[in-house]
Amino acid sequence: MTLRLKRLFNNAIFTVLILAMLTFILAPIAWLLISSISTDQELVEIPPHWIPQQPYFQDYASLLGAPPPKSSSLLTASTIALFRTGLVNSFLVSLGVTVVCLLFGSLAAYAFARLGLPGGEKVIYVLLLAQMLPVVAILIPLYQVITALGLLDKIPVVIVLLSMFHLPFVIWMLRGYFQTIPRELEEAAMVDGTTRAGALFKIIVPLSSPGLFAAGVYTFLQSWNAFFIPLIFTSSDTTKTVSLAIALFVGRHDTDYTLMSAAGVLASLPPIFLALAFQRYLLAGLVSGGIKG
Amino acid sequence: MLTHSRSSQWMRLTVFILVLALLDASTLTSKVARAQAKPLDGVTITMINNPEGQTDTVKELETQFEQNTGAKLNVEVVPPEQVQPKIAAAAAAGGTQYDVFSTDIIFLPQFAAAGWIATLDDHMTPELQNDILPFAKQGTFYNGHWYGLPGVAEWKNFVYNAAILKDAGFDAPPVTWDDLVKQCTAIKAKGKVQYPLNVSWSQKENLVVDYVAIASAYGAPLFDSKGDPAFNKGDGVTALQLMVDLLNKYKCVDPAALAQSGSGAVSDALKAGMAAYGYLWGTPLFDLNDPAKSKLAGQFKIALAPKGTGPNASPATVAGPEAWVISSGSKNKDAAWQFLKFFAGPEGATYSFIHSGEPAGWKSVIANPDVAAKLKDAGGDIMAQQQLTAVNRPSLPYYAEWSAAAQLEFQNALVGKKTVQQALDDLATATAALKAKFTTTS
Amino acid sequence: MTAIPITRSSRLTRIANGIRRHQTALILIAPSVIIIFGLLVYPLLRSLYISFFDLHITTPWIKPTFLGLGNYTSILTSGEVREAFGRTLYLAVIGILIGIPLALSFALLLNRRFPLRGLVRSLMLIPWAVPGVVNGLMWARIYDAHFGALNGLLYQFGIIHDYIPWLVYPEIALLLVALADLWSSVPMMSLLFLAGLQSIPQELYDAAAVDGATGWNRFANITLPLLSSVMLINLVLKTISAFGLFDLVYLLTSGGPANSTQVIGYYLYVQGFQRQEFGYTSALAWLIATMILVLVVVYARLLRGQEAQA
Repeated sequence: MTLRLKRLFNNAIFTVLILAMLTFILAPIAWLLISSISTDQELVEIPPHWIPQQPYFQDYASLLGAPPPKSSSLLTASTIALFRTGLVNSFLVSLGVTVVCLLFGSLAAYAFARLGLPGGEKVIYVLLLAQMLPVVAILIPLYQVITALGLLDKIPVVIVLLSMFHLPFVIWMLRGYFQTIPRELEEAAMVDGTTRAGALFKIIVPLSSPGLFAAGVYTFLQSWNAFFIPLIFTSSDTTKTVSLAIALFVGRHDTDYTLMSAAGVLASLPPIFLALAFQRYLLAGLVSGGIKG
Repeated sequence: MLTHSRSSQWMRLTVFILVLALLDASTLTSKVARAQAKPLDGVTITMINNPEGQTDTVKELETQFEQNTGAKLNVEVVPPEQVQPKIAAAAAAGGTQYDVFSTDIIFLPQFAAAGWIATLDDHMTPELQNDILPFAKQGTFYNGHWYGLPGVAEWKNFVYNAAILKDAGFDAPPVTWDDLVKQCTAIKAKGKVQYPLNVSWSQKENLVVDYVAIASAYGAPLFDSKGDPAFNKGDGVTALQLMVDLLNKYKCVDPAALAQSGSGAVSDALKAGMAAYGYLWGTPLFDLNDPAKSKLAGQFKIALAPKGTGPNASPATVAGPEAWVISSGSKNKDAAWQFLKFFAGPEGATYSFIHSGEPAGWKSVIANPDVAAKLKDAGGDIMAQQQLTAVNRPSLPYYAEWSAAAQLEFQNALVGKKTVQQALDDLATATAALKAKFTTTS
Repeated sequence: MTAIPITRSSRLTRIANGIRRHQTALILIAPSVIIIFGLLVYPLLRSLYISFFDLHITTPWIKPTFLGLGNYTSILTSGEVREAFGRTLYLAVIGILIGIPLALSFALLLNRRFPLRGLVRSLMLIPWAVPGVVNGLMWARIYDAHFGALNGLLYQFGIIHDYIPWLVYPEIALLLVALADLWSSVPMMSLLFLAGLQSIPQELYDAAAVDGATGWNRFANITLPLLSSVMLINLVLKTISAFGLFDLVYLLTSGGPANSTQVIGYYLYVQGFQRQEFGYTSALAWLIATMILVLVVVYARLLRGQEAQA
């Protein structure tokens, strides 16, 4: 009897904590959502109308396909088109960077974790230097290099540039995760005839899937949010990412706040959906792996 | 013999006609060819602009230009605050990236001094030179050279809510700052509007803009004839003191102003009935009195800016002219000039104003009857007077640095960290150091 | 399979394996190194080079002046830089002292099985997925003096009777910036902690439970030590991001009021992009990188002790 009560009590506390956590994380987002379907008038009431009495969906409609209202100088056919191509471009860029970083990063991380390189730690710190140096310092010389090579305004180049900045971290992160996997597992497999490559793919990768997932999400989201690199290294409408397209909704003198919120909500959705999708896939892999509880 | 001569005659005639026809045809084809070949075929002009700058009207002008000349116009659209960094990056890498871009008066001296923009002295005809409004000229002319054509040429207009004033017993807008303070106190006493004067005084350019506006109303020179600081003497001090008093002593200005940015916020406050006075760029009444955009449409009027006190006082305000310029590294300077003239010259600017209300820097635009008609209900006559006393911010090649230092010192005075005199003296010291650094030879 | 003879041939095999091992390692690392440094070598070297000059970009009639360590000394003696640095440390401390425990708690919660766990985990990512511009403007609105949600909430619950212009007070402004930054960065740190937690084999906990260890014991002696490498990563990430924080300040306060939110990242942006002081900016950037590197080494040393115990 007491055991059940205790478990009930534990579950109750747990639920409360989870709800508190979600409140912390989602309260500002809730406000963003509310703003995106409110009119300016309702938001400027004191206190604001927490639940809009006259919800305004025009901004969403325009961003998703309906023609924009004539009166807005910021929400025009071209800024909307830029927003949409921006979503596609951001997706391509983030996917590209994630693939590059996970692929080459895990190879390099494996080398660092298992194949003891001379220098070890210090080499990683040198790699991290690219990330530790504020980007402002190298932006102009980098721009000069890219311009000289005629590589401005190309999505693959943006992918390489962003990978440049995230790869060191991914390597470092994955090295840490790989190191938590006991060597014996690979050595056992290799004694059984598996090659090192095989060991990498059949043992290390599945066992470190939480780490890989984390590294993948990190890379995808950091790339999704990248602003300066895409700003400086793209110019035409067809290569802009969504972070730039959204900044176009900020006017010279004022900002259409409700429009920004709607665009922000839409722009945040793709990574979330991806995470949801992949999370189930990876969780399934974990359970079948049988090592973790 | 008769048949022979007649047929040969016919033959000669036919040949003659044929040759004539052929000759004519060749000239005809060359004429046709010339008519189809456009002057700028194959030329690409690259321009960088912000999205609000790319109004439908502007796009129409761009398409028109392409059709007229055969040139291709490549417009890169970038958020407004990011235009300057991109131009700077491009300039640092040779300046070939963009042919045409717009500068603000605060950047013109720096760009000109750095050699990033091309001089247009050869292209500026006397008629064009005479047609530019005085304050707009400062945005295009520096150190003896012409650098561009006026773009958005605005100044800050003083607007007020006539209904709120009437409610507090005033039928007329304030003429001097003393009047404004008196009106303010009366309005506050009524209880409906707590902070009648709405301003954006965050630590950004907008703070310096407002200081210059108020200092100009006192007629205070910010720099003397030698180019040394004069703002920490005389009415330059009075102007900053007034700002501090409006905030702390008279409580005319909301404390939140220190975190408020941009004239959009001022406009919002006015439209929400939370303020009675404000300074706004462009043609503010179009927006404030538009029932579709403003709850209190119809209540707003423009007046000449309040004067300061003292012998040099005048109803002056601050101006912010922009200019369309050509990059000195551009490979298509002539084509770029043709585009500039078409798009930002008097005809293009008139078209822009009539169709989308873009303020222009040409006298001929303001004088245009259609433009005048459009402006009549939006305070046109006041605006026409106001522009004559619009003062520009200091023309310095180190303006960006000076403004940053000024923003900090003004805020120091406003939050009470320093006295007004101390803040301005410190600014003068910083300015002297900047001047020494920047003006070594040439 | 034939038994491996323990003779000189095994030594040879070992050497051959050694070379091959390094060869493999080098091949595995090569693509990463090429990507990271291929395009970066010139900019890195050039920025180091120009840090010793005053470039006079906007006064080209003055040729670049060689300053030696001039830029570095003016940075180290500049009061403004020191203040900016202090504010940045304040950000980092708040992020570390509040953010890391918070992120760890969230990760612990998310590590338990409960219905809709996948959904909750994905929802946790939302603050991270919001584009920077939107995040900054959202917080600007939340803290807004006239229309802010913060004011609205406090007013609704009767805690305040008048809206407060939060961002106008120098001391409060920096704290609010730090809290907004905290909110944006907790999801990422939680995710990393979660991955670390999931790598800890359940058997260790089971064995410890059998030995009679309490929950707290298990946490302190198993979880924390095994999380030390993730802890290190989070510490480093938070420190780097504190030094790089720029867009929140840009959108919320522009460094004000009266410079009270001018952190190093913002100062660097202004110097670099608005004033084009590239020599000075490069010197400052290298100083920052060095400082971060030192901090990273310190963190690593501190945590290695922890890891050894595990």
